[in-house]
Amino acid sequence: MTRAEPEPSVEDAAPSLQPPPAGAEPDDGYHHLHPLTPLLRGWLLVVAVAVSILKNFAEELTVRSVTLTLSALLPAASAYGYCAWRFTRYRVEAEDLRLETGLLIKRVRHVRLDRIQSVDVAQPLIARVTGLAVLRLDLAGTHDGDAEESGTRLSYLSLERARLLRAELLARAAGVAPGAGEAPERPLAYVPPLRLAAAITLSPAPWLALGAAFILVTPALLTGTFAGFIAVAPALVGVWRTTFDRFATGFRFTVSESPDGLRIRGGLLDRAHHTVPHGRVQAVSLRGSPLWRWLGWVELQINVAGDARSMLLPVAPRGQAVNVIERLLPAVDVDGMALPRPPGRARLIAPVRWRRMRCGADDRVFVVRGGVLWQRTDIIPHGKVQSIRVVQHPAHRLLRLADVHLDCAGGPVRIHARLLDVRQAHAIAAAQAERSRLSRVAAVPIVTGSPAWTPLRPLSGARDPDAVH
Amino acid sequence: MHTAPADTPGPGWSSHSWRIDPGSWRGLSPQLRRLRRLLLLIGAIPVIVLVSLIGGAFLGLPGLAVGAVPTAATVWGWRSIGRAWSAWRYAEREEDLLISHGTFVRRLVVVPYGRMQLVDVTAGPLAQRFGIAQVRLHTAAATTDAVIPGLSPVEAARLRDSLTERGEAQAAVL
Repeated sequence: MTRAEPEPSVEDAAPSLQPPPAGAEPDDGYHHLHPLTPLLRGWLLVVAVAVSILKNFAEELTVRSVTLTLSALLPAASAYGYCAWRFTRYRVEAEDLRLETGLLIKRVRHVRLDRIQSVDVAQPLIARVTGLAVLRLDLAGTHDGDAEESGTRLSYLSLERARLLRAELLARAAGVAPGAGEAPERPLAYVPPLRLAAAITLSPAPWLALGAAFILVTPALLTGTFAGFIAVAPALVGVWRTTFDRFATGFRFTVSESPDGLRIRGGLLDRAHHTVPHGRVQAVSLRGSPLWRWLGWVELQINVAGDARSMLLPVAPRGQAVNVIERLLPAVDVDGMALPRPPGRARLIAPVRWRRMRCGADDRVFVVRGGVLWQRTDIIPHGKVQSIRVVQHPAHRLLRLADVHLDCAGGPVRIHARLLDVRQAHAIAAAQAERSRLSRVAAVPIVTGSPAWTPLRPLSGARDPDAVH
Repeated sequence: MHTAPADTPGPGWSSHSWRIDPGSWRGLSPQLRRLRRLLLLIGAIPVIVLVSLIGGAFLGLPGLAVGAVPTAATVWGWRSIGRAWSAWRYAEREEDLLISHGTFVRRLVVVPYGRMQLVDVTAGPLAQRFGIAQVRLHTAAATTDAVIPGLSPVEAARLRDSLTERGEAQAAVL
């Protein structure tokens, strides 16, 4: 039998290493994470290891065996934790954030500030209790599932420090003078918890799941066996969890606008504070749900490259949501655009949906509407179109119809214009290619650190031309 | 390199809205068609032989005719490889690359050079024997599906260089 304890080798190796020169620290701008970090990160591991040792090796659970195990484990773990903390440091440089980690294998990561897609200050429950926070940077390029590599987390920092650092990073990323502190903000929308609860109650998903569970349970109740209950219990837990998660993430959701970008805040247990710099919103989607329509409520989702979270407003009156969109994409009139319908013969394929299908463009955005019960309006600025696809399925060919997809980066919003006349589809796609080209050309000119920076301008110039490659 | 055959795939699916000279469409290397047909035969011939033998064993000499079914399927496969091959075309425009393919589901993909994040050129061992390479374009959108499956290595390298060069010149912010 081998002892399942990972620490000793690390402990043996640690003293032979030279710690970074302590005296130089304040001068060279390096910072460490918060000293409580190893405690927060490691306590679970220590408990797990302790439990497994006790279970496997102690004859019986006595005070002596617990004390012995802990007395071996705790110093080892804390030594490791201390060293890991000691060797992890970061520094904000002119163009990047430099993060050094690694006890044995040193690893230096440079995060290009001009590539930051969004910045988060999150407070998971445990960090919230201790007043700490996690700073997360999202970068573009979550290509083949390497989400781990494309972003960077600094955990943990004190909340104060995390806020300051976020402000500094955003300011530098936007090319304005750092050290100005946190920029002022103007609230755009707030979701009261009561409305959120009402919206969740009025959305069909939890009820459908509950109904399904009920149908499964009924035979079990009638025959008097409990097997059905056992099968349904995990499903019920699942329903409860997803419903509760929706409430918890949307709790006291606030969207506000500040010179460094859009700020999104919310959360019951884990408080997230999420900043999307200007011009990093790739696409927007307004979504309704069947019962919400009576109350005029919609949900607002956005795509941000390299960021999985997409909720901009969990529920809001339509007018407010449209207002937020108009702040995000200035000079866009969401409801006022005249959008053509697909040709009448498309009714053969989509008899009901046809009535709601519309798509069209103005000089800034391309808009697609659709959905009968779950109505949606998807909007993409011309400059954010990554590629264009015209697709024709065999059934569509008989009717001379085709679909147009505008591909955009990140997130759940998809721009898919359905059942257009095939010639019109090609014409739309070709025109869109031209509009997107003009928009890309217009987006390039700002220079790094330009004083001409204004709040609502897209954050675009703070990078060199081949930065995308 | 190989220019596309004259038969354009149907009305409406043409070059006119893209303002592109029909002659500038390029097709795939004939080696790809050869490779695919070879793979088809390698898979199909044993099946044909086996089915005919089984039919013959149960029904006597006329039972050999059962083998006609997989043979017909193979002929259909042979033809559709040819159709798919000739439907796959690409054209370089000033600002973007057009790829058109598919006979059953027809697709046209437009990738602006300024949006390309990387260009992959891959060639497996078998493809190398046949002297073909695959070019795939990636953008920041995961849904972009831009592949040119079979080009001669020379053409693939030329295309890659031309794409990256134009991509650098026209790169746009995300």
